[in-house]
Amino acid sequence: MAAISIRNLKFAYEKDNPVLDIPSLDISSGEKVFLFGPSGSGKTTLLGLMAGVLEGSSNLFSGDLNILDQNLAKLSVSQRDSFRGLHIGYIFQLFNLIPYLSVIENICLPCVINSKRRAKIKCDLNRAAEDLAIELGLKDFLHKPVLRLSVGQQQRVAVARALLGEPEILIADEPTSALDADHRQKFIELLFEQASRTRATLIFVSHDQSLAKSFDRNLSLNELNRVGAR
Amino acid sequence: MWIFSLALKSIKNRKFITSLTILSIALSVGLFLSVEQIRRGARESFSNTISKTDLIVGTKGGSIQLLLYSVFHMGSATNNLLYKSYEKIKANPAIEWTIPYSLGDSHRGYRVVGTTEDFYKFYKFRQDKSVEFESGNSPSGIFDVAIGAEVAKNLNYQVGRKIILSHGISEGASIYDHGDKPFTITGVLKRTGTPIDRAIYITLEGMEAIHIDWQNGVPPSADEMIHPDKIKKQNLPIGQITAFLVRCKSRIEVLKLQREIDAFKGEPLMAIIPGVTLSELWRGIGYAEEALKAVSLLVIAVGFLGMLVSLYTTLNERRREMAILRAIGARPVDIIALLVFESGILSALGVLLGVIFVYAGLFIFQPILENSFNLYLPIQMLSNVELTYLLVIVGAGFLIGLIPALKAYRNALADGLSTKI
Repeated sequence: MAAISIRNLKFAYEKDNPVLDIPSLDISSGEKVFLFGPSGSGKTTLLGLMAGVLEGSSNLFSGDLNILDQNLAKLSVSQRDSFRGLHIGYIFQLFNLIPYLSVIENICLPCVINSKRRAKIKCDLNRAAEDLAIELGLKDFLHKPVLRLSVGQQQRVAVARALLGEPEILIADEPTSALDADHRQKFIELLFEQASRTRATLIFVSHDQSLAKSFDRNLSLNELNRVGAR
Repeated sequence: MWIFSLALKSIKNRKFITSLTILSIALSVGLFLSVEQIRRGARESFSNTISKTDLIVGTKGGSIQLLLYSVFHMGSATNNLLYKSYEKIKANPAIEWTIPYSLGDSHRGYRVVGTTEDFYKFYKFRQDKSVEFESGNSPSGIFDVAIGAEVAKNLNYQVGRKIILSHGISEGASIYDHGDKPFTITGVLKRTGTPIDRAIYITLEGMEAIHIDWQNGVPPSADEMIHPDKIKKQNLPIGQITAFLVRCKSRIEVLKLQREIDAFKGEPLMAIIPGVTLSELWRGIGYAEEALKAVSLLVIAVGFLGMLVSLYTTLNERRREMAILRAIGARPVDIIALLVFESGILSALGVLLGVIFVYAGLFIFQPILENSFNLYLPIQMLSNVELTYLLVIVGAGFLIGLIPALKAYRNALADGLSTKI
């Protein structure tokens, strides 16, 4: 099964100013993909489209974008939101967490919002979240306010949140850029380990090509995107 | 449900600013409710002053004026009516009882009321309460006097003490004293929470006696003065009274009797129905009440404006939060709901605290208001009108949340998952 399949995808924020033009892209299920490109190459836009956050309205969007064999353009706005909540775990570069929730509350939030994702967890939600957090080395921080955590710890909480409920696709948007080299390598190993465990497809976005070697496949957005190439 | 608990946690996280917001709403709601409570209390204490009286009769003039000077001891009568007329009307078979009042004198600012035993027997206030004695009994002799509870307390008078009445109504020292005819206190009335507490009651004969030797409104010279010992009740004809209260045997007779009195042949008289005149009075001062109410509603609007400002200013720093929520599957309408809940919760808490303030205030100030202003504010449930207002205020709080919510909604749509802060 293809996790992501793109054909002739064109997207623009304003008319006559295209941002993306991708003739073809296929990512199969369970693959760990490294997607790199300089800033402004349309990385965040592509991720926004994959996650179904960006509105694919007719005149700005064309082509096919299938996630887990579901054509996103055919879903309504709220169906896309619930699709994302169920199937995608998203990790930001920085500030991943809701500041007024504790670590454990942050981890549980996607499953609280999306009842189908909650239903995938067979045992008690808090228990599952705690087990996962302990596995990620967050044992001592479970009920701490997130702002007391270091950046590295915060990113691990973000991973736990993205993983809980085992979504099929993990999207990480420059998650290591705020970490030092040592932590960066550990973070990636952790991410790989967890993605393999849940058999999730990992799409890892960065402009730092030194990380690329451990991935199954490297993709350059500049090569994929005909807008960038021009 | 998760949105509601998220909203609660978000509010808790910004404790300082949200407590200020809640406090400002609470104070404005408290002010509004206090105005309502005092208004209601004032009305009730006015209408509780006189019960079971169908008509008040006096000489022709303003009906509100008649009500005020006869029942509330405010202002004064322009004319007296003849005792003969009173006796004639009293003979009407439709009448159950009457209470005559003869007014015009005072003692250290407290009004002196000349009346008869019928006052103690028939007068009713707060529906069916009668005048009772704290100590002593009703004045029977010409120079006997009963005093209201507040008079006794403020002047520290007890039964047996002699007092001197003054001619006319004045706060301090009067020009003419009835120094030649001292009165003896024979009774102190129980507190009623009505103007009765601030009045001094003598007999009609007593009122005649202190003026018996007066000529053309001037006190007698020493040789013309008649010594009180020489005045006997039997040879003391009563010439005039100021007003009288009437109770009819049946309610059906009231309007007929009123018409008869208004057309009384002997002299120009008028009869008023206390309830009707009281509502005329309310209409008269209604504007002031409405103005007060408008001001307190404006204060609530200011409280809401404060909340709006505090929610709106945090929106920019919360853009990240909204992007995170979107990324983990929250819909744009969830973002709207989050902010609407936040402002709704703030206003509901503000209203709740405001109600607590008002009841605490009532509890503390009730005795003070009763003693100093004779305003009895009962501690009672909120009226339906007040409850409706409070619900509308909470509803408005939710609606106001829509303003920052729509802004956050637009932000969230524009930002998507972008990480700019």
